Amino acid sequence: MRDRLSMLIAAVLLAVVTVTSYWYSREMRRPTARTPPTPGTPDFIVDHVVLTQFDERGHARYKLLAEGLSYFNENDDIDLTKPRLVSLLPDQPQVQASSARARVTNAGAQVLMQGDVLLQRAAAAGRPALTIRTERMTAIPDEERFSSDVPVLIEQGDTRLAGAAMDYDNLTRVLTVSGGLRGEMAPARR
Amino acid sequence: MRMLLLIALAACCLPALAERADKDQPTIIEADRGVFDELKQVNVVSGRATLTRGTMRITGERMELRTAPDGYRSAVVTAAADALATFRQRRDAVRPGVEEYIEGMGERIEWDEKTESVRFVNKAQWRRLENGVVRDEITGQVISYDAAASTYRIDGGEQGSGRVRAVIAPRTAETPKAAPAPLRPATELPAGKK
Repeated sequence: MRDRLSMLIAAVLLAVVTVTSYWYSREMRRPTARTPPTPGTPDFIVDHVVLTQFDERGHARYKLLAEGLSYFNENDDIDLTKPRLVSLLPDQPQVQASSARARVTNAGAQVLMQGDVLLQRAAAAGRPALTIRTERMTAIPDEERFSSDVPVLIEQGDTRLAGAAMDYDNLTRVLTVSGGLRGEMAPARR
Repeated sequence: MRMLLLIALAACCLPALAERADKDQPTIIEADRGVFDELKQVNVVSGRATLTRGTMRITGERMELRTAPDGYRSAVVTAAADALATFRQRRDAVRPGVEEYIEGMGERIEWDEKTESVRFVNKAQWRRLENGVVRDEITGQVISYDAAASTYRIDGGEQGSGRVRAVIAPRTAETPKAAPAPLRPATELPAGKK
C-alpha cells in the first residue's frame, strides 16, 4: 500500500514537471506582445550626436556630427539633420562635408545629402583647398566618390568652375564636370 | 621640299603686341564638359570649347589646359574633324582710329600665357585686320608667333603644297576706309564647323 502511494506521488510529480515544461516552451515560442512599428517612423531619435568611426588599430577615421539623427529599423536607414562629416586621416588633407539634411542608406554605403551641400578639402602639398557647393550630392564614403546631378559650383585657388552636374573621385583626384561648363581663372600672379 | 621662312620683322612692319591689358584679365573657359585631373595636373575640356581672356578668344573642340608651378597657363586647342581651331585678339592701338585684330586658324593652336606665344599647326592661317579689312595674310603648315621677341616663324612643312604664302600690305599712314561696324565678338564657330 505504501509502495503504491509513493509510486502515485512520483507519477503526479512527473506529470506536473512535464506539463510545466510544456507550458514554458509554448510561452517562449509565442510572439512577444509588443506593438509592431509603423512604417516610416524612426525606431529611435538622437539629438546633437557625434559618431566616430575607428580603424582596426583604434585610430579615429571619421567623425560625424549632426543636430538630429533618426534610425529606421525596417530598412537600416539613418536620417540626419544638419550633418557634418569630418575626416581625420592623418596622411591625407582633411575632407569635410555638410548639408541641411542627409539620408544614409545601404548600411552606410551611400549618403544622399540635400540642401546647402558643402564639400571641402583642405589645402595640401602645393594644392590649394577645394570647395564644392551644390543643392544635392550623393556620396559613396568607402570609395570616396561624390556626385551631383544638379548645378555645382567648384572653387580651387583662384579658379572657379560651374557646371550642370559633376562627379569627383577623391582617390584618383579626378573631377568630371558635365553640361554647360564655365571656368574662370584669375590672371597669373607675376 | 621643306621650306622654312623666318620673319623677324621690325616693329614698323608687323607691329604692336597683343593687347597688353589682356594680361590682367581672367581666363574664362566654356565647354560642354571637362575632366580635371589634379594628380596629373591636366585639365581637358571638350565640346565647343572656348577660351577667352580680355580681347583674346580661342575656339576649338577640345582644349588641354595646364598650369605651370609658377601659375602661368598654357592650352593646346584641337579642332573637330574637318574644322579648324580659331584664334582672335585685338592689338594695342598704335594709330588713333585704327582697330587692329589678329586672327589665326589651324587644326591645332598652342597658346602659352607666360611667353605670350601662339602656334598654329596644320593648315595654318594668320591675318591682321585693320578696322575689319585684311591687311596682312600668311598661310603655311606651322605659324608661330612669339610676342616676347615680336617674331613670326612660318614653316611650309612637308605636307600640302609645302609653300608659304605671305601677303603684307604696304605700310601707309592712311587708315582703311572700311566701316568699323563688322567688328563684334564671335558668338559661334565659323562656317564649316560642326
